[in-house]
Amino acid sequence: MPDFGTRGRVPLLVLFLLAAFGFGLANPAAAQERPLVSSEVTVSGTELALSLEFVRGDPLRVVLRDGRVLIDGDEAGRYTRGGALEGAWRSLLGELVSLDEPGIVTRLAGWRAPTGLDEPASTSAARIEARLADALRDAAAPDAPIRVIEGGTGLQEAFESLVLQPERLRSLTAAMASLRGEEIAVRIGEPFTVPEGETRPGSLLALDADLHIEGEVEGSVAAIGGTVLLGEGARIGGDLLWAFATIEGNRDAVAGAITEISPVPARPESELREELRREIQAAVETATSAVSTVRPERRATPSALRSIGRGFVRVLQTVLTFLVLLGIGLALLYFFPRHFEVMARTARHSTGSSALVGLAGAFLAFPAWLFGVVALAVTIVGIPIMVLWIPLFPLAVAAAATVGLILVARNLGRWFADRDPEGFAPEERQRPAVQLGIGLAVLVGAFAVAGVLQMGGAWLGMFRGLFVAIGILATAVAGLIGFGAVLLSRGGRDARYAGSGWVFREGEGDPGGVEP
Amino acid sequence: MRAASLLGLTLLLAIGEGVEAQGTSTFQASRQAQTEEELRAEVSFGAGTIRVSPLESSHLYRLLVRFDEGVVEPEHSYSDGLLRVGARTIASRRILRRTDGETSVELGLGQTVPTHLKLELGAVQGRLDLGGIPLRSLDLSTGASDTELRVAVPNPIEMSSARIQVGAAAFLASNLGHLRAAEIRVEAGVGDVRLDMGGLLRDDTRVHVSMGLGNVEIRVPRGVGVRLDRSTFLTAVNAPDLVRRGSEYVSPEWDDADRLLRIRLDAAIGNVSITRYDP
Repeated sequence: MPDFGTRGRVPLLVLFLLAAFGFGLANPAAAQERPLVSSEVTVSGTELALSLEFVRGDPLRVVLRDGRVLIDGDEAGRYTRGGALEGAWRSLLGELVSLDEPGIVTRLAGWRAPTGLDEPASTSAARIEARLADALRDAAAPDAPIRVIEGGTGLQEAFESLVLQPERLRSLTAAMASLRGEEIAVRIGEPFTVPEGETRPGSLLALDADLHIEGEVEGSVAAIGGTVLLGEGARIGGDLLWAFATIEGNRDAVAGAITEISPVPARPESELREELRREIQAAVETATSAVSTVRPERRATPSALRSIGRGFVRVLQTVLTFLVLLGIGLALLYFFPRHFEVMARTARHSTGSSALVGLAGAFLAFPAWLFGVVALAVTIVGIPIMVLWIPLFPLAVAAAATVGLILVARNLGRWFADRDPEGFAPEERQRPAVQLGIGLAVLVGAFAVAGVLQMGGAWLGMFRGLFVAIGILATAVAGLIGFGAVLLSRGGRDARYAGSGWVFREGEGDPGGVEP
Repeated sequence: MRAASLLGLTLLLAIGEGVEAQGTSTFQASRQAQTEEELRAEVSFGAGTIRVSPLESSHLYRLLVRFDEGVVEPEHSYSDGLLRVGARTIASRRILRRTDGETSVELGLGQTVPTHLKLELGAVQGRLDLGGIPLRSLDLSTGASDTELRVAVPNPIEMSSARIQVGAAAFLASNLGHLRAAEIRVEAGVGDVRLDMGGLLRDDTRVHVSMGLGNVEIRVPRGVGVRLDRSTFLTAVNAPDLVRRGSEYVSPEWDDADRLLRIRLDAAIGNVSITRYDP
């Protein structure tokens, strides 16, 4: 009875050889332990999906959606929404979410659809069960185990003969391909006997080893090099494959065919080079297409940083606008306190009239400008004035609107100061500059909030839009009222609409002056 | 004040309706490590909570997303070592539908395959436990989020650089030294950033902090030589342990320390402090 143990170098050699031929000597134990490569489970109100990818075998995808059962993309039946099949599948997937791959395989193997289902759910359930069983069976089938019988003293020679005679290597490849899927015992470099009365399961591969078979081999026998001697009572259940070997004795012992192995044809170097070139070309093309498809996608995805950058710029713009308006306002307060006050009061006391005048002014500004251009153009004297009129009139309108905005901001700030807010000393909140600052902050604040929201990215877009709209509305209304007040008070020279009984006193802290 | 509070409350309700609740639908995906030489993981996540942690098992990664169907759509793809993960808000339905809960993403990364990790987080509460994950590179950007980065266990491999971009957010990082990065770049927009440089394993580590507006605290264990090179505008720098040497500031142990930390600071407006603690 030969020893079936292993010796250090032998499995290494076999591993090397088999790996070299692309057999990928899989570890059956590992394969059984982790037949699943990946899993994907979706459990939602409308979709219950399971996708599995196995180490071997085709991937599996079972989806229950909108009353239809899809198996691997094809409709395999229907089910009642909210029915027993959906309930059972949902509960199964709910369990799978918390399991790892071995757990998933075990759980799926034990899953049975509920009994007593009506049609068409019953047929669908049977198909799901059958597909699951198929997938798990394929996945769990281990590679044919290869056992190595202890190599003899001829191991070194056998190895050398393989390396030095490529024909033998190619024959070995062909033999392995024929025996694939069966349990194979490998004998290298030393005679091996199957004694009379012994029955060996699986197949036998002899490499430069003399085989003497008196008993029974259930599978096939392959011999590369050496001699195969078949005794009278020998029996080989499968085929006898040979190359560079001699067959002697009872050929009737072989139940299958006795075939000389045709070595895997050698491939010309030029063909190998061509294949290599094609592979490299394909790899380069894949890489190039990946680059060209990925980039636009990245551009389309607004990155958090870009959002932050844009948001930051928006906030900065708002702050700058605020500062510019504040500067203009302070300059007006300092240089034209009376005019400013009259205009502000006009906006406050005659808000409605100011708004109407502002609206009318806004609508008439362009016709007025055009009329001016035409009127000046037809008179010879007017032509040099027209040169000034064309740029200065729009500038004057814009300046009036800006001043108007500042006036309303001051009024807003004053209203706020009158509400007695915390954190401001009474004398401080009566300072026109403070009031102006507060009012401007309120008016442009919405844009600042929109900027901050923009930093949060696209998902805050709705709120950002809301604040931008609020900001535009607020400044437009304020601008119109203020513009109207500027027009109505003729730039602060006419106090008729500024409230009755009011006298402006130069140097008064409260620009509200005295209201008797 | 009251009006502002009310507005704030309304906004909060609108944005984070049912903050405690989690999404009602579940998406799970996992993959065993096979023959991958490295993994590139790209996470893009807008709003909700995210947790990234190492996996003990033989997984390459494991992903669990809880979301509201019709409001959020989980995104997941894997091909040739490139993993993309995200949760996309279906904006068109967002206004019309009530959200039942917050989206949560849990991503586990294996400890066997070297990984390039890229995270783009928006208005997210994030907790990133990256200790033990073999990271070749780290690129983290957060928007308006609260993010905590922990590296409790050293990175099994060295990385050349880690980049952290913080928007309008609070960012807290502990044991950054365990990342084993030659260079750590922190770009902060507006917010509070706290960086603990504990667990330094490299002899020489460079940290480049640029900050727009906010507070930055860098905590360095005693025994580590610190050198600060700063370029600041309206920024108060508080580094009591450092003394001026030429145009830079160094800690007393700079010349003798085994581990060196070079801090380059570019700051506009805010406070920066460098504090020491006993490891």
